[in-house]
Amino acid sequence: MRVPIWPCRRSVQVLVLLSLFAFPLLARYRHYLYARQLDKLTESWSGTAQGKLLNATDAAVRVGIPDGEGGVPSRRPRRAILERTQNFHGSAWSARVFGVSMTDPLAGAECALASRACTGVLLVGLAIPLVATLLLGRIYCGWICPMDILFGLGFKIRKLLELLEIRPWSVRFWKGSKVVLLGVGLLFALACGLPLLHYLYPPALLGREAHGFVTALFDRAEKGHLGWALAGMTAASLFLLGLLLADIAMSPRFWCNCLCPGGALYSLLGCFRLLKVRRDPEACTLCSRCNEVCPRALKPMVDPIGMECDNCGLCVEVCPSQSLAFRMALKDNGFPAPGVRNAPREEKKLAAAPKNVVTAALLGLAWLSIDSTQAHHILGLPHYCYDKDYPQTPVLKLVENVGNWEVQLTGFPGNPKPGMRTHLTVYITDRTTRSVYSKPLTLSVHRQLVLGREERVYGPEEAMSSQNLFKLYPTYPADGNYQVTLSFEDGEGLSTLRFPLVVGEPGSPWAVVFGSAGGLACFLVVVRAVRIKRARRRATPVAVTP
Amino acid sequence: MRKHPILLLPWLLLFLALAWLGWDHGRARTGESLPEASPGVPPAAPVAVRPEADAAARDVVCGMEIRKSLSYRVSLPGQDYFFCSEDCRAEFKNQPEKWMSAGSRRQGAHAMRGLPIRIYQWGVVLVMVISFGTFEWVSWKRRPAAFAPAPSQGHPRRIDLTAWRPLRRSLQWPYLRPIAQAIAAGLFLVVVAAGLFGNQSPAMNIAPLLTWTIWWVGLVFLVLFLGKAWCFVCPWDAIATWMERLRFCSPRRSGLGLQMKWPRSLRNIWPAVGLFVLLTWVELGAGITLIPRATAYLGLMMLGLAIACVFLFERKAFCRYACLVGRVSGLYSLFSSLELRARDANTCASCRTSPCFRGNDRGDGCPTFELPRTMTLNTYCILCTECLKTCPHDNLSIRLRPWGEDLAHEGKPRTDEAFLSIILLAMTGLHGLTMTPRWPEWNEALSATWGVSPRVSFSLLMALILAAPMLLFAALAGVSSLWSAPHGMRTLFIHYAYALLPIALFYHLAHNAGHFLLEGPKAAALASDPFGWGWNLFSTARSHFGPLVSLEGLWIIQVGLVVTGHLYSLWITEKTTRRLIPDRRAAVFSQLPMLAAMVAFSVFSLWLLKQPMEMRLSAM
Repeated sequence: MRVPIWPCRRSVQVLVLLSLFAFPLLARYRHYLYARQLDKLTESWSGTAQGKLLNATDAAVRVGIPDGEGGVPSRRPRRAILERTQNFHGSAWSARVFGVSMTDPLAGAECALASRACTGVLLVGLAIPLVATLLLGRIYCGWICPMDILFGLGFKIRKLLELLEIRPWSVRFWKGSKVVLLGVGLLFALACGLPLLHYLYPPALLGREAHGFVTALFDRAEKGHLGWALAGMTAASLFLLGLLLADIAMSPRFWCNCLCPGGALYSLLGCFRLLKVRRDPEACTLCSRCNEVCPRALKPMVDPIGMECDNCGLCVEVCPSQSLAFRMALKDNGFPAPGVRNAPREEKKLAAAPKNVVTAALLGLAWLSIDSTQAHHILGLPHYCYDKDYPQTPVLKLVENVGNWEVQLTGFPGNPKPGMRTHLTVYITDRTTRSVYSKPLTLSVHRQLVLGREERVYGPEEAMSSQNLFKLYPTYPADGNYQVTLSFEDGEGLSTLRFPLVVGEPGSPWAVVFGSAGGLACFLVVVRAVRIKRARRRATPVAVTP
Repeated sequence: MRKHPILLLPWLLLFLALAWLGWDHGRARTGESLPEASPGVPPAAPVAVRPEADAAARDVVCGMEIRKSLSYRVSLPGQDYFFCSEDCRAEFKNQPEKWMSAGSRRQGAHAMRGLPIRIYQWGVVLVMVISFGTFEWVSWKRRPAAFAPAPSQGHPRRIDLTAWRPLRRSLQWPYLRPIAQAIAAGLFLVVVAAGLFGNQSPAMNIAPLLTWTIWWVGLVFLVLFLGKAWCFVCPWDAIATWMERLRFCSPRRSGLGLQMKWPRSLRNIWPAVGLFVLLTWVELGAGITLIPRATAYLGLMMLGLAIACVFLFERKAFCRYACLVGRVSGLYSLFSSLELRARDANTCASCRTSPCFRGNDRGDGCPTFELPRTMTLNTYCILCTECLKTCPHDNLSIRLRPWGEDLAHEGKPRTDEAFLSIILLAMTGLHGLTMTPRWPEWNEALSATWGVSPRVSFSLLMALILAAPMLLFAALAGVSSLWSAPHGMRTLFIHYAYALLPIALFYHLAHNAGHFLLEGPKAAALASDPFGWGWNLFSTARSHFGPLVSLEGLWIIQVGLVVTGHLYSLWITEKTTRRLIPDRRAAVFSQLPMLAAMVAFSVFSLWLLKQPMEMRLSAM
């Protein structure tokens, strides 16, 4: 009986990918639970993504733990949950699951070389991955690394592009470059004590991005911004996106095969693995399907498989005559099919050289752009209001002139969140006489709704002057654009002024602009594909029946 | 010119209207002084929204913003009050205390006063007298010799504008249209950008005003005098065509499109009719005339449709079948005083190549699938001037003609066009109705009694208004068909529907003249600050431009427009009857129900104008 290899492999990868997001989420859940804030927060965030995530985590974590604590049957079993959550730590770079530590050998190597020390803890963490790699080869790449999902998707997109008559390049790179990169990186770590390879290693980057995303999601929620946002993502995401695009445009899995330092390390370690794909030359029908599917660009039908193989099993699955199989063996395929051995290779290193340079330059640029610092001034406004929330809350200051009067409206915070009590301060002076206006004024706030209608959310409130200032405290119901309407007696009559005010993060038209531009681009691509296919059909001579 | 004075009529009317506007400006308005306000009421100050704008004031009775120099004044001790009309002033003088204290509260929305009852009654009387007077007169003076349909080509009552060489040469210059389109496209993109990214307050963004108050009116106004001038500069088609051809001017040498055939089942204008009804629903039901961003989305949507059609289909199938603006103005342009026709039928008869249809190296073949050499109707001509360029014999001309020529002669009546003309009538009426204060009442009453959302009740009311004129007109056509053998009701319905076009056209103008003349000048301030970001490009941003006309002047213009439309409709009905029914007695009887329809629609138009109208940019 054949074991379905692909579903097993993909589900392991998906599980790893999910846990990259689940572990930080669990950490956040644990944090709230520990501080006894969980119920309060889930209630105030009910209906939002954050609330739903916390609820789902809560439900998942409590599976199998009976309710009740301290004699109260309905109470949440807090202590038991906290204990359970301690079983999940880390990311793809280094993790501890149920007390078992596992560290990526690349991380271990870099760490050891940079610190020039090899502690016992590190060795313990390295033990399982090392042994697994030594015995089973590069299985991390084929079975665990979540980037495989992404590159699989990239391969599908390549097929789609070919259907759409956009022919992606097929560049071949030298597979040894990854070993060079690994060597340079490790030597640098040894020489300068500075680990650099983890800035390049996709699983590590993915784990960090996932962590940053989840953290920012909840950090922002704590400050009142309850939306999905890309805050927290760094340029590492751009780097991964660039990898995907290069993978689609240049050559599938060029990163894994030719550049990944982790892949190089796993290849070297798995050089003398026991688990191997071997071909039975008697049964082989030389259909060469295995050569086509191999993601590592190996040729299981003709070549010795060598150390690059990650035992992904695609060739085993695809083989119609079942001549390929996983075997425990020390030796590689030593018996090529007669007459196939000398088949011409399609290596065109020289022709690909300029593209190599372009790719290297692009990757270099993408890498240079990695920068995890984030601006903390949101609006770029100076902060005047030192008494509260120093130093990062900007204030809003709007000045308008009416006749001789100068009207100054100050709002704190400058970009308030819905539901919070905010300060609006009005200060009116006569520009010529410098006298301050002190008669009462009227202020109201309207929310500007989508249909051009307005909804009054505050006032009209009559304010009296106190120490030359008019102070009002409106509360806004929701994110959006608001208008502050101010009326005062200016000697000639009643003057009415209107000030714009933005609360929270109202929608932006850019989404629509980019959406329609993308739609237009897709439409044009489809039109082009149809044209090319049509021209090709016309060019093919019609078979003439005798 | 002496031979055909009728050609002068459109221009004479335009001159009259302009002269009326000028006189209206110069007319001195009397001011009055009231002795003393009643004791106990503090004199409220009039609201000055922008104190710099000293020329503008607010009418405390109706809340309308008016220009002081065009207004009626009441001087109280220490305070002047300004009014839009005698009627508002009379109302103020009746109860000055009430209005003085209410003055400061009436802000925001305001209703413009509709026709006063006396002008309304005069209008109705005029419509009646003209209907029956003209009708009687024409019936009595009928001469059978005049019935023969006049050929469109070589017609005596035309002035060939392209006989003037400089005009002809410039129209044949391949860059003229692309340059005009480039300017229009630039403007379009600015408006879209303003709508998307500008200040979302409709009073501070140029997109809603320019689109709904100026463009949508100016388009139809231009049709009267210049035909489909909009299609000549259309930015949607321009951008789409440039994208497809990667070439600035015609002819199309190669392109990126698929050049498919337009589906046979859609070779009618129902797609455009559907889009028009949809647009009206979106415009009024969702209220996008006041939402800059939605206005921009709509513009982008039209652009997207144009691009999709240009890339998928042959020629400009979009312009011919699906563009609602092109089809609406196309139907109106049957009335236009401009036409593009072949000059000499004999030259065309000897032409073997028809480059006007097929195109050659100087220009495209007709983009809307017309055959210009035999074209007799304006409907589908988009005045792109390609045939002027391609014709090797210089046999095509742009000519001036009297109004309504295409309607007066036997055209090619089609069911879809007939329905569109009635829908046009219904939709222009709907525009007027939704701005009356009664509309929200009806809407709320319906949604309350049936327990449906306001949007559903709006749709129901709109469907009702769409169906009512059709049913009424069909019923009247049915009555009319009793006398019109061998023509049945269907034939009558289709033929007479075209006679409704002038009523729809002139009501559209009468209704929108209010918006255009009263709100349009605000564009001058907005032009300096199109995005509402506090710019002042032409240093007009702070200046305040009041209405171009006083309310009383506007009423006269509106009644004049409605009566003109009615007159032309009558004339076209008469012509249609003559063509269809040769027998005099039968003609008189069968014409009566149609006459009733005309009178009904015109009086309804006047009634709509009598209603107070909620202005769009009242919050300004």
